[in-house]
Amino acid sequence: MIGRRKKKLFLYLQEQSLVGVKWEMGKVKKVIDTQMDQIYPDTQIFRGEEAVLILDKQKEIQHQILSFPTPGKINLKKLIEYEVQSLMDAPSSELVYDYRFIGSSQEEGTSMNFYLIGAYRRKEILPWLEKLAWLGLNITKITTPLDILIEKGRKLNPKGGSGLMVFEDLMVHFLFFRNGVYGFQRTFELQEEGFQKDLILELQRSFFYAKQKFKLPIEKVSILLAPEWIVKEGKIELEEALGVPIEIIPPVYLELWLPEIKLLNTLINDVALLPPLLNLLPAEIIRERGVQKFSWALSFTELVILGLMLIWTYINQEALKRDLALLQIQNRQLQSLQVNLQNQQEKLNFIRKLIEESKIVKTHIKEKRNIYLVFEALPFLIPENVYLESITWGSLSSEQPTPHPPPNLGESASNLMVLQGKVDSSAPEEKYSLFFQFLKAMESSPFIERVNFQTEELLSQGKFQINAYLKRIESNHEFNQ
Amino acid sequence: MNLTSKEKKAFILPSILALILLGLLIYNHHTLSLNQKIQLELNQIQSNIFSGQQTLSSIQKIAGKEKLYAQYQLDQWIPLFHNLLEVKLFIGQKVTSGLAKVKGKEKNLLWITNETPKPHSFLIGQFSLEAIFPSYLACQNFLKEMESSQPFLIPQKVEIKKEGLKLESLFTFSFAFRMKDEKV
Repeated sequence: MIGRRKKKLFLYLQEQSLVGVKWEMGKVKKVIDTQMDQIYPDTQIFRGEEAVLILDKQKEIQHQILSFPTPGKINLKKLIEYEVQSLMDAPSSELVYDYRFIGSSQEEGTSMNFYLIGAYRRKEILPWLEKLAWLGLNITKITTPLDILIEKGRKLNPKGGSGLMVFEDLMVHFLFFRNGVYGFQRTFELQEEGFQKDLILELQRSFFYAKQKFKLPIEKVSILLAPEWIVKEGKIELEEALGVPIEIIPPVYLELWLPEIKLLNTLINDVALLPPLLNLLPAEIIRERGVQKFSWALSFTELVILGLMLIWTYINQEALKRDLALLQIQNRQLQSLQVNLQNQQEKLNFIRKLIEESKIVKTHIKEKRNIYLVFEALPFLIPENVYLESITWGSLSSEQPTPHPPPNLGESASNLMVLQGKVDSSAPEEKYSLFFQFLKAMESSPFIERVNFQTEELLSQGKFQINAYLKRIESNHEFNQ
Repeated sequence: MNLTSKEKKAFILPSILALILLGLLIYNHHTLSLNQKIQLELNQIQSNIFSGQQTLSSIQKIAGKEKLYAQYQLDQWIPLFHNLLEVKLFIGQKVTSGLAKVKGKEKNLLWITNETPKPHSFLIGQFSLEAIFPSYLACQNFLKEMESSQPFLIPQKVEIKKEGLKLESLFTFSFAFRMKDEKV
């Protein structure tokens, strides 16, 4: 993850001396150069920047190479824990350690995996980390110079026996690799006078040791952070003395921007070395960092959900407001309608009463006979010289009994009209003629159903009686339709 | 596993946010259920409004026929009286006024029967009238007036006889009326 960032902060802590550089797109800028005893709780100069710490404390930090046969059903974690406890002579709870695979090789016909272990006692290193925290730094990884050099040597990928020589002021680190797998490391200090001879001697010892222990001659030596004299003439001298080719690999000392950061230059020159290195940060701090990252991720997710939830809340709230407003409007509409209905109900009740009354009136009107219409029509039916002396309708008079009672006795009272009259003529033929003219007019009248008559005295006295049975005349009311 | 203080601190913000989210969730759930209730209420009200409008429309249609029914108001056709004397006075006045119009002359007005109760809560009374008319036309107009004007009389019997130049007549009419206490 660190390798992908464009900016990196590296700290190099050697004994009490702390140097910090900011690496940005291959350019390096020193950001701090101080002594650890100059750092106090109120000396915060960083704002939580993440930094990689290279801890150069050879006394406190122990390294060991462990080899295990492959494939082997071993509990690597437990074995390493056990080895670390033996190495540091302390229980694992008091230690901080890490391990990593650094390669595999055939050892006496068996394939072996090699692991690099780094460990230190908590009480010896944690105070340093606390001081660094005072500066406002957020240490994300702790590694060691040896680990950097081992990784650098591995990346050179030499065949057979090879050496990596690194110059650090008067100190020279020599690392031996067999087929790219780290074998051992020696550090020796060069004296002011005759240091070239001392160097050759030390290297020859190392060559001898490597041949003796690993049964493998060193065939090539690479030099890192080569000083000026090596570049100029030392390289040839060494090649002649050691009998192996020597390669100077960058960076060389003369080209360093910041020589004071010493071995850190190796890492800055090749930041891709960083990811596989040991991380000797205490486990609880790594866990805290993980928890913090998880917390931020969780918070971010929750914030996104919160945003969505707020939008949902707003939509719900608006819908509620709108519906409440609609409810109020419709309630008012309903109330107004109910008042209107109440008013109309009174009217409806009145109309119902009228309808009931009209039914009674209808029944009553049906009783109406409209007999006046018959009386109105009657004069138009009587011929000249015929006179009526009496008209009787309805209940029969005792004085005028009907000789031929009507077939339907029930209708006689209301339907029978008795007409008594006289024909004023001396001629008998005319008497009959006028009478029958009258009778015929009666029969053809629309309101008369049938007639019968008495003419006993017609010839002698000109008198006659007609009994007319009337049809019922119904009122033609709109109401009856 | 014991959490360090930094780890505990790291969980403060997510916990607060989780609580806010939970609160919002509960609030929204409440709002949604409230909204559902309102929707149900709205549907109920809309249904009530619809049925109310239908009722109103029906009432208004019926109210359009008010005039039709009003002309058959009971008071106009079967008048209401407080007592029988009022009925007799009313009949006397109606007959007298009818005769006066046709220059007829009343000879006798006789209340024949007391009222007979009818099923539709009104009463029927009967009376006979003897009168003299100057002509058949006068007699005929009188009958028309009695039978047509509101409240009308129902002729039960009509007898007309010629006596010299005048006509003597005898009518029996029935008359529908209502009493306030439905009793005589």
